Amino acid sequence: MKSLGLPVAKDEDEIVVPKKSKSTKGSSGLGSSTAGATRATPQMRRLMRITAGIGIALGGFVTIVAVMGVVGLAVDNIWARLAVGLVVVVGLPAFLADRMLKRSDSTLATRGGLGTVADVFAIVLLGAALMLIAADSVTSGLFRHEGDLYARHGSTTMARAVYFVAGVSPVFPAERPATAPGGSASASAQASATNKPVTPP
Amino acid sequence: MKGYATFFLIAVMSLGLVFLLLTRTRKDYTAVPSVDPAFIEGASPLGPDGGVDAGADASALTVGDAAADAAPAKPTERPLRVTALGWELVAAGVALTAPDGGAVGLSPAAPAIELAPETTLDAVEARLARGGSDPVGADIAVMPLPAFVVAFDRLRALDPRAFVVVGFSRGREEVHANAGALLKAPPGADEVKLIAFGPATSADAAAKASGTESATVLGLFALDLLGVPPARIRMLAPGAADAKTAPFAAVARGAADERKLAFSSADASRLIPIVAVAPKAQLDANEAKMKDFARAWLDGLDRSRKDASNVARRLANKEALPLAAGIGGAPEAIALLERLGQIEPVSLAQQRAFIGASATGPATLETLTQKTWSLARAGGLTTSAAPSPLPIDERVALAIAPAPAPQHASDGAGGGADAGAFAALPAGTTPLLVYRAVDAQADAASVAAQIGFLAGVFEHAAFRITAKGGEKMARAIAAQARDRFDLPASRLATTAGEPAGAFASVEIVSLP
Repeated sequence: MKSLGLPVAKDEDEIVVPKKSKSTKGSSGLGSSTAGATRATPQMRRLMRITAGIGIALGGFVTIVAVMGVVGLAVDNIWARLAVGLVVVVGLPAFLADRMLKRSDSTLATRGGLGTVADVFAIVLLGAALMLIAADSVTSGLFRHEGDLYARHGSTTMARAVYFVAGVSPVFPAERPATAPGGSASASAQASATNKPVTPP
Repeated sequence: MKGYATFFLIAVMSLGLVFLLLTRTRKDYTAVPSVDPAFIEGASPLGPDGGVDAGADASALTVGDAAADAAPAKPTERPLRVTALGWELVAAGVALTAPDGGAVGLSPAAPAIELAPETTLDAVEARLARGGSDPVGADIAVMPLPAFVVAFDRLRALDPRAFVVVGFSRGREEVHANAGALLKAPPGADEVKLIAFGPATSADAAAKASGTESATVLGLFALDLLGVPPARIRMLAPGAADAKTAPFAAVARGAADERKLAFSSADASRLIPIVAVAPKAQLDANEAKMKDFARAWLDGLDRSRKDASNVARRLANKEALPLAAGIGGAPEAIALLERLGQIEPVSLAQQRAFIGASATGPATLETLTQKTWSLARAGGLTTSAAPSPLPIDERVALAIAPAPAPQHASDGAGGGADAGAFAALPAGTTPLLVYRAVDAQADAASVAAQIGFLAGVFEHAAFRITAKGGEKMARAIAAQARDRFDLPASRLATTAGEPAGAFASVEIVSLP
């Protein structure tokens, strides 16, 4: 039989498969704003850090108040509520950041590692906060209850902040018209002298 | 680039969150007052003469902190906390407070009042259950009688008592029916469908929004008059699959219903009283304060009627009001004004017409409570029969209300003067519904008694009587009703026919 003259692969020939490039190594997939901004100007880097910080503060506050509100339905103790709130608000994004760093074989000490963690915290907490605020009809009562707990314990500023998140305009007893019967029942001689309560004859 | 994308994402999310927080509609909310533990330990709930439950006036502590520092540390009287089922029911309390916050023409020696209007019966029950010593609790509740009957089961441990009638519902509840459905017995022995808020529909949001306990009782009252036994009644939610086939609907005013309006509590103007309720222990321990409260509240009702627009505006704006903690948003002024018009206040002088031994009319608080309870039980709104004695406390009303003027039989247009003169009803009358005496034991006396009750409930209606035995029997029944209840003969008419399937039928007719 006559050969066609075409080259034929032999068993001993080695097939060379191109190796996967390890160029992805070192990338978190998320892309730290601060890490990825190594080429950014120092002012831009600072702006990125501030933005992440604001995101963590805003999202963290709303989320921790929501978690504390859930715990507060069962427990009034501020420390118990705070502890659970901190565990969730720190623990969940920390866990996700840890996974992220492991995927990219980075650590906190690696260049950009801290920035990645900050970004994960900001995005997770802001995402949770946005969902909580968007689901106003469901969560408003929860936030109000949490605000009530602060108000009851005299923490007016904190109560005011939580009521703000709850979407209500609080009127504290001290801000009511001083002449209102509720107020007039105080032991204040001054108040009773100037303001007359609503009283049956 | 990824770094910039993350930065952009965080920035957008932050701005979005800030935008959502800043632009949402904010409702007014009365914050819970702070609690001073030291005060709780030393406080007496209702001042020096004690109270029924230990607690504190927390709200009083938060007012005028600077002045309170200089004040003596002795426990002070806390305000009487009054909750109500509906913002319009605290109008009396509003009228007792001047726009500048001061009291209106009342003695400074008596306890102050704090108002806690609620929109659900659950919330009112919760406040009563907490008691007045809790800043989010209440000593007294103002609510329609059917709501009280429904709540009684859950509050039985408090032994709540109705102690004063503050008004009557006048058009807050409506019964809608297919054309002519309330003027004849429902056909066959099938179930009779009623769109209403009841145990079977309480989980349905539409039923909750369109119905009330009072409306359901009004609907059950209509079916009871028609002779429909409770076992045949099936309550449906407005959105149920077979709701369109229901011939009757009992809804709150303003709720959409495609059936025709048959009658409302404006017609049955003495069926649904609005009562003030307090736990028996509270009434026992603080009888004097309860009397002061009742007197002031009735005075406030009178004032609120004279200044309704102002009261509605102040309620809507929560303007200079002694509101309790944990109060939600108020309805609009126009809605409140409309609801205020749907309540007929009862004056101090009228109290003894409804409560006590001198309440001998057909529609007293006792008879209405008995009737409401039997209707609520039949409809499944409550699981227990009316307690004996009924949860009515006469002490307060008898102490504050003047004795009624003696009534003479000749006062009315009826009586012997026009005996037998049952003229035909004037033209233009509208039949509202029919009472059918289907009971086997029904006789002229029982039908006359029912006419007397109906004449008390439908204050401005006339009654056209048809009875077995023809016009002679109808005239005998009318004469009995006239003589026993001093009904004017002009409100009674007889016809010659005979009713089918009943001893007698009485058409309740709205006069022009």
